[in-house]
Amino acid sequence: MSKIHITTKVNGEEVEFLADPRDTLLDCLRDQLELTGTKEGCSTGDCGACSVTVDGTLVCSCLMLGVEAQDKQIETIEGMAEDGELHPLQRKFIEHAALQCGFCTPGILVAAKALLAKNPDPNETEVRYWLAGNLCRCTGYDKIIRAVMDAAAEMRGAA
Amino acid sequence: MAKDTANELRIVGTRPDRPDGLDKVTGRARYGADISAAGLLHGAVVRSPHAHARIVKIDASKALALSGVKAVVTRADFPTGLTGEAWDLQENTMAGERALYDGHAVAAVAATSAQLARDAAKLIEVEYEILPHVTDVDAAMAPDAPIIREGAADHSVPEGLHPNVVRYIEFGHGDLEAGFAQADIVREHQYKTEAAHQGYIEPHACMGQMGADGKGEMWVCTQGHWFIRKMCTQVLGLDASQLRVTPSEIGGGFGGKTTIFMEPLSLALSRKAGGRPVKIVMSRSEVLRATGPTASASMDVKIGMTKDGKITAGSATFRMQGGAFAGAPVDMALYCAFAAYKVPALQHVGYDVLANRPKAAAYRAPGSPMAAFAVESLVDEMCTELGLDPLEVRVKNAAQSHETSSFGPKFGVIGLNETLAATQAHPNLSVPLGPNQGRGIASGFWFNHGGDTSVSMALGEDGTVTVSIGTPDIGGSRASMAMMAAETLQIPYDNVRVNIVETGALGVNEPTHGSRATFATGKATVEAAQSMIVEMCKRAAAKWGIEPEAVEWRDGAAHPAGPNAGEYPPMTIGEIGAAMSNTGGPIAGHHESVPAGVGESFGTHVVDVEVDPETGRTTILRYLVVQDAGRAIHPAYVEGQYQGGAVQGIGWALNEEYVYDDMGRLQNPVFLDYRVPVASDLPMIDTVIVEVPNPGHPYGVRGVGETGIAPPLPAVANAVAAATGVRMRHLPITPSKLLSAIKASKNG
Amino acid sequence: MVKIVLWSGLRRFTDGTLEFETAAPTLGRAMADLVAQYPGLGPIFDQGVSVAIDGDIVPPNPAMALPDGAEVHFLQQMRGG
Repeated sequence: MSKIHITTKVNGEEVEFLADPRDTLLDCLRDQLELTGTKEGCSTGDCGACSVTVDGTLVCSCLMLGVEAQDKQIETIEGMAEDGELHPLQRKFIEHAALQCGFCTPGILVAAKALLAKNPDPNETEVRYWLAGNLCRCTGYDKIIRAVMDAAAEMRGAA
Repeated sequence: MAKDTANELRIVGTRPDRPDGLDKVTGRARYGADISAAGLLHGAVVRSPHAHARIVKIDASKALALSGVKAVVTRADFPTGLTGEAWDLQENTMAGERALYDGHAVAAVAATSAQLARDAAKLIEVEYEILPHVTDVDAAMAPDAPIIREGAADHSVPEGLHPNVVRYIEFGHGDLEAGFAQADIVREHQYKTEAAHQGYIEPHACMGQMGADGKGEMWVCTQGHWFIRKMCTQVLGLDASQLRVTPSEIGGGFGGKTTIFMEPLSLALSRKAGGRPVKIVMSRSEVLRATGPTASASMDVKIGMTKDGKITAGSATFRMQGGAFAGAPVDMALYCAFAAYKVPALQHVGYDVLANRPKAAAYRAPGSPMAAFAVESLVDEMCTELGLDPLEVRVKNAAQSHETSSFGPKFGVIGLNETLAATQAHPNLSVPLGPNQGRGIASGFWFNHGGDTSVSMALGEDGTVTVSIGTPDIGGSRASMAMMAAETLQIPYDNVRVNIVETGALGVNEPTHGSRATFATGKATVEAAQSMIVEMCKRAAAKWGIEPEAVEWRDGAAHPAGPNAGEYPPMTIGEIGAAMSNTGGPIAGHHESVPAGVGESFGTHVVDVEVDPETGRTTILRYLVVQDAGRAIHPAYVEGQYQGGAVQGIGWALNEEYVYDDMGRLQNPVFLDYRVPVASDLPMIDTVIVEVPNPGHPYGVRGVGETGIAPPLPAVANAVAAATGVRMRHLPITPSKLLSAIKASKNG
Repeated sequence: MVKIVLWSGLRRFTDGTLEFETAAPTLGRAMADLVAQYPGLGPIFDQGVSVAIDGDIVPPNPAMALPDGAEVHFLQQMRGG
């Protein structure tokens, strides 16, 4: 099957790749652009390990085709730290031991950042429901929720 | 020597950032599917859609005709003549004469892209003759059950049982009849649990490369790369040392990544494709259909109890199917069943039964959660009947240090009393409950484990230290090892780097399993550090011209041991490292052993639930884990293990199960239908770390990973019973099942 | 002397006896003596067992010395997680 040339922006940089029409955005990020920080856990949109934002909207990149990425603004985990400075969420995840194996972590961080962009002061229930699409099998979520709320507080200047 | 009392510890018990934290929050950490290489081929596996079928013919000609398809392998590409567990592994890797379960691999293909490999797999034509199948454990033992494999039973099985019974377990002590006769009430019920999957979010992935010379390399996500090496080479008929296995980061395992599935296929395909590397990444449905879930269980338990709550006798008869091969954890289940109790008379009987399901792998405290569900449910039922406080009954019958265990030998130092006391003291127990709410309590047990362990440690030229270990880091164990090394050497935590190294770099290591890494690798790390200290003291002694025995190690430096040794300024580890080339050469320490002194652990959980009487949905309101860690090296990661184990147990209790249709096909091989707990299902998980140090470890470690998954199954069922008056003896307690039971109880 | 305790499922191979006293200096010798007396135990031991010496569950190393007064329990082979 002939491939389609795609030009788009990932983490602020213009990139080009050739997508098989059946490749998901996740396949293209990982295999064409070597951005392997975004993970595949299910390929059915159930686990959230492949979470990225496309034009500011949180999506499962396994549910979007690579050819749909033309002229978009895509943000992945690799773009979260700016100029070598960790995002408060990333710092708080380390500080709160909010990761064990770390495989779901990139997706959860991307999803949590999208939450805080919408709602800088979420309560526990709001964080839990927002992250309900991101499976973590190791932690039981406790420390993840705490880390997100602590990061939110810091970003609001409340901590 | 290591300082070994809590108040002298400087690093153990603190909460430093984990060394691999930065890589894991930035997406830089490389997991199984993130590995690539020049000339890479991609593999795909053809799997049986039938639960049990004779493989009549495999025709790969159409697949091989596609441009870019480089190799196809079937069982014909594997050596013959294997026996025992090696044969089981080979047969499970690739079906021989028959496919034994839905998802069983029957062929594999390598091609230049993943899409092409999947396309090619669809073109491989397999002709099957469908055979009768059985997936339920009790049905598989019935006289008319289809025979899955003749002659699979081992020496333990008495005559007269169905050929699907492949192992028989029996042990016990005391006079059972006399024990039951002393009881005021004797109750007996049957309990069932369904197969659950470990549910790690990272699917299995590997990249294998092997030339015609039989030398190979593999990169793989695994809990144990020496196990991968041994099993792959057994299955392929190769020499173990010719395969070099490097572990990637691992995205969860929980026991499920302690064995092989598709890994040998990548090597076989690579060899056939001229030595090009072949990567195989499983899909989620392949993970659920064709890796190693746990067993399903059918269990009869009988207990005798006096009116004041003394347990006089107990018996447990467990039947478990672990798929089409021997290995259901019925033995471990029985060992754990009554471990929290001191009972004068006990009998345990177990049957390991074949069924047309995937080969069970270990899952967190294998067997213990099912056993806890059966025994702790019945104890709770009897407490309710007699009007007794379930926690006090557990205190009254608690197993004790240095006394005979339920499984035979005497316990060493155990912390069950302390765990129960900490539970009784916790404020969660006095929170008032509302309508439709109930509180459940249960205990659980795990042995923990030692196992083959090899660690090496090297001093750098600047006095920093590299530790090479062989147990993959799944939950922060690099941090624990660095902390124990730094504590022993009395140097800063940040001056230690811990690497998980490949199979060529150390002696054999068992996987990160059995809750052994912090205990066994930690103990070996401390031993290696101590051997390095001996050498560093020698170097200082040589320089000072005194006996090595006159040198002591403290504060990260060699010091004269006392005034008689002479007056010399301390020689720091940095000075020793800088000078080592001229004082005798590199300084390293290492340690290899199967450590003795494993310390068992107990945990007690308390859960409050609310059941919606309209829908049957159970909501977890409050959850408490109290567990003896021995000592917590990094308390945050110990809490994390408690919380994660509890939530996996909650999932097993409420949602998770393998559902087969009447054709023996798995009906829920996606996360949407195999529903693991999500963040909105849960409250915070409260934890109490009890510390009754294990005398068998330099810092008192027992191991913390596994015990925590056992109590939730009965604790949740007990809470549901308290909330509704309905006793659920068959997990999971799905809303529809609970609603039907509530309605039935009202009509009855 | 050392006390050896077998699991009760082995009763049918040992004429009903489950506890033995032995003066064997090593675990391997104690196991060989048992097999000599009850050949039915041979395949069971060959297949693998777990051993607890005074409560410490250890690999069944045949060279392991048995301290005087020790209690040695044989268990059906344990599998890890």
